[in-house]
Amino acid sequence: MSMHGSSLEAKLVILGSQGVGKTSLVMRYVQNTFSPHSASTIGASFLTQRMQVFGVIRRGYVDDCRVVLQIWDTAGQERFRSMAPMYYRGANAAILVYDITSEQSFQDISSWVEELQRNTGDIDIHVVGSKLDLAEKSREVPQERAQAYVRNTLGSLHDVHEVSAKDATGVDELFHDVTRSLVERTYEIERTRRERQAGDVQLRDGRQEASDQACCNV
Amino acid sequence: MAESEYKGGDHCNDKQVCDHVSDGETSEAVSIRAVGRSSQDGANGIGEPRSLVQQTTTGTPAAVEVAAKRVSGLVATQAVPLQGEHVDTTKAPLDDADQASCNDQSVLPRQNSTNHRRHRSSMSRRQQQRRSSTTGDQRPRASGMLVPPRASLARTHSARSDDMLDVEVRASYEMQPVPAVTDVERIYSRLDRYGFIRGGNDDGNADWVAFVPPKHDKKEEALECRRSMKWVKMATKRWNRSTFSTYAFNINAKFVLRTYKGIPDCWRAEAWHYLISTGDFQMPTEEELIKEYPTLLSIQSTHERQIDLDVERTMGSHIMFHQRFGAGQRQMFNVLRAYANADEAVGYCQGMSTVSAILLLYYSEEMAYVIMRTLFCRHGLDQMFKPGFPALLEAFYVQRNLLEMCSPGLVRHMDNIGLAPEMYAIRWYCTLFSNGALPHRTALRVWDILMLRGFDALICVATGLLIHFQERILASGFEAAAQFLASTLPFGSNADDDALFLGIVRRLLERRKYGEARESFREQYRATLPAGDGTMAI
Repeated sequence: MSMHGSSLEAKLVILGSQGVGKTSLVMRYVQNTFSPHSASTIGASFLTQRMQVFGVIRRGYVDDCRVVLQIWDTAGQERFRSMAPMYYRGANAAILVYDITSEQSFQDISSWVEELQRNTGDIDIHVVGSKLDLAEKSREVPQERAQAYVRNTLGSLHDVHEVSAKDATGVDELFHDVTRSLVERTYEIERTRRERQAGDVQLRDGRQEASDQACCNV
Repeated sequence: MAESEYKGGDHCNDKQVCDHVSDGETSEAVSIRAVGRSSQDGANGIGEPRSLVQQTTTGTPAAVEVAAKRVSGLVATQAVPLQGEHVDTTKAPLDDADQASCNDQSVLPRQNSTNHRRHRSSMSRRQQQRRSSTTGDQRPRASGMLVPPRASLARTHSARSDDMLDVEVRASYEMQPVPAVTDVERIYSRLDRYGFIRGGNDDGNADWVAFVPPKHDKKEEALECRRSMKWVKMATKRWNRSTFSTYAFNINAKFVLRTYKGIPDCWRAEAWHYLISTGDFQMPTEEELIKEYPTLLSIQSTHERQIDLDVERTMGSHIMFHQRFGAGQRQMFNVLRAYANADEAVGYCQGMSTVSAILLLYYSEEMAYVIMRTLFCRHGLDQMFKPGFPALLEAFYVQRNLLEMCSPGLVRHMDNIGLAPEMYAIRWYCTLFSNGALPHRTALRVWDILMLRGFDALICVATGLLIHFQERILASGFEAAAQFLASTLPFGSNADDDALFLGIVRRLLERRKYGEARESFREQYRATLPAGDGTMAI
């Protein structure tokens, strides 16, 4: 993630079981289209989207930030899982997608969370339940349970997002939240680094004085 | 196009099926004969034995279609979405047509369907047959229900004078604008020569637009026609019981050159079959493979769920695989299931669905399975789809080094921007460059070369693509380059672009120095592997 003034380039990876609607989610967001028979993703596909986040506090000022999201949409088949590290390595955020009509796909989320936490430093994880339009007919994963799981594993500030790529419910909000959280995290990291640097400087100054003294004593 | 001229034997006349509606029974009988060979299996595995009734219906919709065309003036066309989620959407027009043809008692205005015919005639016989069975109603239908329209016409005409008839006929042709179009016609008018649904938007009836092939297509079709006549001279007829192939070719320099120029579409099935089944290699014979096919289908596969997910999403824009659970999708499902059971080390991997779909465009279900098995086993494609993708990783290594040999600047640029083959080429290899990686026409030409030269063809095609588009890649950064390579690569709509690109591929494949280089890169790669397995470890 690199920052130039108030613009930011971030890498986002979409993970999840096969057929949960990863590609549909991305296509809805990037192209605002939905096709019930989008071709299966083989390997991974790459898309970018530019967006602007308004009103983030940076160095005490309210700031607008331009963000370029590089989105890696990965293949869901188990066999391609061995290739996933190639895509999530160096990613700033991950969207883990499950299908609210499939209990199994929700179960798979936990292994993804573990894998990401084990292999990446600090990746911003978002859990997303897809196919919300089918909720009434065939929901298998209650929102409360998913919410409880997310709060438990990722922390109390995290929410599960439920979206529908078909009727576009919650998709823009999801990506907006992801981007905003990316920007805030970046600013946070920047702030702590600045503070640490300031601390380092003080420390170094102190050491400098000590060595100066040592020098004088000789 | 010229196919009926030289395809004798069991390749029955299209004309009979298409034009002689009056012989409703005959045309049916003909198509039964045509599918006879493809439906030898007793049961097709989903618990629905492929009965005689079903074979009969394979012929019937074709007749219904034509009947529908003739009575199009009467048929009340309601707007039926092409790609609905309800399975019965395509049934509606057929039912209408059926009824109309039964009630048909008068001289009807006919739809001018030259456009339609052109499309039909340029497609292979099998495709036409499939097409009708895909869109057609799958319910068993008593053939008696269909009253041959011309017979009923004759009945009516006897009451009137011939002059009156002539006037009416002429009037029907002169009527402007043409009255309502049946939905079947609507669908067909949107197909390109390969059977992909083009023109108009996919989900709608509202702005339905017929697909008009670009002008130069006609020129190319004429060229292909001339070429196909040359292929007639190259082919010798034979019947080899162990391979089920009808034609043999002499694979010499001329044959190779002509394959690089593109096998004429009407010869593809035969040529691919011959190329794949001749030569020295260890495989069960095709007879054995076909014999084991029904057995394989009866086994439950652990891959079924995944296969089902992908069948729905594979080449949905092709008329044959358009209908959910339609004939095309059912065949694809079966071929993949059979393959997964036959080759347990590979099972099913995404990408294979596309491979089976393309084969099904040219072969019957059993033969598609046989060709897929042979292709995978013979050319080591199975190693590419295995868990861990050993052959794929090797191919990436060879591809990179081969590209460095030809265009070091490009490799340097791609290294600089951080674009690795794993990011763009998995899709290329795993779908064998079809399903949107290349335009369908170009992909088929890649397949011609693949059948001729095996796995190396894939490596050279990938390298060739990068070289062909190197200016574009050199001019772009990571973002643009990655997006460009992930899209359908922009080959011009005429064949010149293809020829240019395939010229590069040909040089890469046929020149000895590149061949030797490939071998040495392979050895280098194998030497770096830890314990002899090339699986992906990250």
